[in-house]
Amino acid sequence: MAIVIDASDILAKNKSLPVEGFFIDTNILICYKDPFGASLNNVKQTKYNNSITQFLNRPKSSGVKGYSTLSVAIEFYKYIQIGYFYTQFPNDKFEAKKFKDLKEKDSDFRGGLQTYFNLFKKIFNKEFPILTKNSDKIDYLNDFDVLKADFGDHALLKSVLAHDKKYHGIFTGDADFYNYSEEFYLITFNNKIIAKATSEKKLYLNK
Amino acid sequence: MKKITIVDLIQSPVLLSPEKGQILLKELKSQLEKSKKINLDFSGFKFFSSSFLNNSFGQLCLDLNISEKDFFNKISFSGLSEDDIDEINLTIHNAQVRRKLKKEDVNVDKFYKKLIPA
Repeated sequence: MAIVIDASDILAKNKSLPVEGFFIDTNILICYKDPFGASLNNVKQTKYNNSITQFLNRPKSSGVKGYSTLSVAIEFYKYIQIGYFYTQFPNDKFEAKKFKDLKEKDSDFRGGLQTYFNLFKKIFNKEFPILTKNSDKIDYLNDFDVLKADFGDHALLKSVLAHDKKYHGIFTGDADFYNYSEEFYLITFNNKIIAKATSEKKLYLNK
Repeated sequence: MKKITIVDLIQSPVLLSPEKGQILLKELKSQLEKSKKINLDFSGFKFFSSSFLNNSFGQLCLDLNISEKDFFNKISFSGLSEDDIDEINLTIHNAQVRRKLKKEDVNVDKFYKKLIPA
């Protein structure tokens, strides 16, 4: 059962987290890094970006570290790849073959892509390193239910649960995680998740 | 060269809100009228958000029609790590892309909304 942590409450009351490390979901990472500057002139998104930035810069001082998984890195890479294509060809449909051809033959296209790839490398090398658990086999597929969650979310949860309990935290805005029966901390700014957790007594209350 | 100490200008080491970005934007516009080159000293800052960068440097490029090359000719930085500079590079690059899309008559509000996760 997911125990929900209200990230706004953690920030407002300067509370500590019950984990030593947490994993970041792709949706949070995209809103935080905002690779294409999509939040400019978007009040709601800017506010969300600020809340995430504040939250992610807070736990550093308390020793809590943020991590990522390979599945998150792949999802983020796809987001950059497709988003970059659309910034260059806003009226076209994404085509993997066209993307590959441009990457090989068009130095301007390649140069622009490199700017985003530098960000990608920095995120997953330094800010939220990919934490892998190589010693055990992780069964990603046995209990995967496509109607319950996306495979990316499922793979993230499975990777997190393969680690020690002190890392069982996921920072996400995605309500699908709430439906999992496994024990972990769901850190979120999503008011719908927080309201549901409050009514179902699944909200983390730090004394 | 005019030197601006960011933490003094913003009166905080945390560079988070778009409003703080707009304070820097206003100062940059005013100083660029008087000086050809500006040095921005970030010494003592704790962190910045992408919305701070978008609303200061990104908006400056859009408002004054400044190219990537011109931006770095006019403005230099101190007190920042290489990673911080990379983030500024990205902001300036994104401003150029946004301007290009506007020129191509793309509805940018609609376009960028599509790039935000549901």
